[in-house]
Amino acid sequence: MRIFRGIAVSRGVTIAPALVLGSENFRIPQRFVSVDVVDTEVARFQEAFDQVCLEIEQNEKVASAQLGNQYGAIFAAHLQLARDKKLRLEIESLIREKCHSPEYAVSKVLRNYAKVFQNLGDQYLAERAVDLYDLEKRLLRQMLGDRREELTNLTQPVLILAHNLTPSETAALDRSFVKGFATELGGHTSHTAILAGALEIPAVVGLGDFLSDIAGGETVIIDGNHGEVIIDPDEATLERYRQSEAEFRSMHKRLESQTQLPAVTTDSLEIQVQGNIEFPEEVDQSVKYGATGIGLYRTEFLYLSGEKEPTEEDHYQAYRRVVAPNPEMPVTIRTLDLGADKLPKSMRALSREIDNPFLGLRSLRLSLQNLPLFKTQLRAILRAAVHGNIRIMFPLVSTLLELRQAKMILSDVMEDLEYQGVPFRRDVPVGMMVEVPSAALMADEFAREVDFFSIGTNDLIQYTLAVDRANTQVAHLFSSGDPSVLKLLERIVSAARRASIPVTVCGQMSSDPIYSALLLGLGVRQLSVTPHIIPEIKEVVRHLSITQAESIAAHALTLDVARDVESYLRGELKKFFPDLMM
Amino acid sequence: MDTPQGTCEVTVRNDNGLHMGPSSKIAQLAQSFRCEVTLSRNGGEPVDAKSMIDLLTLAAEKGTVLIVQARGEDAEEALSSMCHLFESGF
Repeated sequence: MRIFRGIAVSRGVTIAPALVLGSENFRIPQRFVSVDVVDTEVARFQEAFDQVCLEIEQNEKVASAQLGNQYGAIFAAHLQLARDKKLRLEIESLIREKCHSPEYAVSKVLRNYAKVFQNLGDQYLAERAVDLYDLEKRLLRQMLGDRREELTNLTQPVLILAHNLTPSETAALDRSFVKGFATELGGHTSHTAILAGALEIPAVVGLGDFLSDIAGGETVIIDGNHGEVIIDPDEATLERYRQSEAEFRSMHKRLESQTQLPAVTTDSLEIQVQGNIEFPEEVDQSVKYGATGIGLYRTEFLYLSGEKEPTEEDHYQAYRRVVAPNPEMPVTIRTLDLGADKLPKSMRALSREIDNPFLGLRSLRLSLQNLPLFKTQLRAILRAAVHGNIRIMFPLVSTLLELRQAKMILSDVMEDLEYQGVPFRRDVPVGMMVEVPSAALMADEFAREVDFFSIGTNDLIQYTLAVDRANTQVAHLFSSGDPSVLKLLERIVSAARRASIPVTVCGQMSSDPIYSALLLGLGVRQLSVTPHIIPEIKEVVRHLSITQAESIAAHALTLDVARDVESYLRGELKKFFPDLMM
Repeated sequence: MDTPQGTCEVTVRNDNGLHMGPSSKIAQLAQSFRCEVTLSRNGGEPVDAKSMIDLLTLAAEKGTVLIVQARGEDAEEALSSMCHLFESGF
């Protein structure tokens, strides 16, 4: 029996055989081919080669259009490398003259050059070896097909263990057979994690290197409540987990029967529990779980799913789809929050090229430098607002000037629409995410210029503690309970109260029941959480009084290390809600 | 008539030397000419300026002096374009 610890991203317990997805180390099926098929083998290589060039070209276009030409240039350089005549001729001659299989030839030639790069004594060039391995992978994937096709032909329940799953791979998992997954990479806030929650299958990510000696077929337990993965459990462990799997199910059923009841504290204050969504369709799921609104509609998937930039009509249709079922329900649309860290797999090379992507051109900064893109989205939001209760929210605002600039562009767009006679709503509330420490520190000033605040705890914590949660070497330093984070939250909520504007917490912190009492005690009255967590958070609220929450928050603020805050809050939750399975 | 050919000396002015971006631009430019274009370090083996991978293996840092050699009907034009590119510091 072996136990691995990672980050729990989707609750529940599940037991099933393991299906291990290769870590992209392609197994080359044969090294040599017979002389009479050499021509067709060369043709097969050329075809794969052309496909890969097309793929990189496509990456270049998307990167240039969405992030700017300097990012596109990175792929332009990759393309130039891929198209190198010398490489191509060398590979072809190995196939023709030595009867190497195309896969073997590609691997041999590219790995050879990678070694040359690594030995040139230049740090930068040594790192460029990665680009050659990347090219090798692209070519092999093209010729061998993706081993991940296995995922579409499942016939019995499995747990997926993988190095990494992309959001699109996660979204495509067949829920009738995939009962849970665990990955080496990833963090709480990765899109994969968020999607796991939406699929309602237990998931643990960020486990670090654990796949190396798992062959597949072993019995595995994924404990999405505690972030544990157990390989080959012994009989006693298995029995214990079967029990908790059953308990978890029954608690879930009970919560689900109460979804439509309001979240009212024991001293009769109603708390708004809203849903965070990525895809328009998730609005139905949120409503089913009892959401009183959509507190965060992330619009990045409009940009990431297709190959070309979404048109105003694409935006408009998506937004209408979200508001149409419930025109009265508040829906907060966050403008583009894209950065180098959220790119699709084939464009991952970009983030390697950019130092400090989290401090770079992303989110609102990207929108402000790319006005046509920004205006297209704003036009669509304003038009869709005619059909529902829409609020606009700007992400990653770090200075007042940025906010004013964004608001000015919004006014420009309104003027354009007015001039063109296009129907739109003028009095759409405009708010901002408070997720950069500078904005938290200036909360009083900001509060005078917006209609609402929404606290994005993921980024706020990352920037306050200077920790990238997706980096397994430092992920343990990331904590929602850090006293510095609590102080910033208190500051933001007080500023909002003084200016009489509402404040929502929409980060991952609000989806974790241990923080519910703290947030309510600090004065937060709106939480926006992962849809499937809504019933649980509402139930936690129903067990609390505001007085009690205030005293819990006051005590938490006196503690000086994150660990103490977390264990105190966990202890309090157990006291006021002993039945909640943690 | 002899095949036109010539050489010129250039200095790498790019801050990071001939890395991905600059190498890609050199290769692209060289490919636009029919003539053969090579680059070499002082006394070193010449590499094909049309091959990005060759250019990268030069590992030329900022300040490196390189010799451009062109041989073929549009050699003169190729040389002047190359010199121009290097002078611009890309």
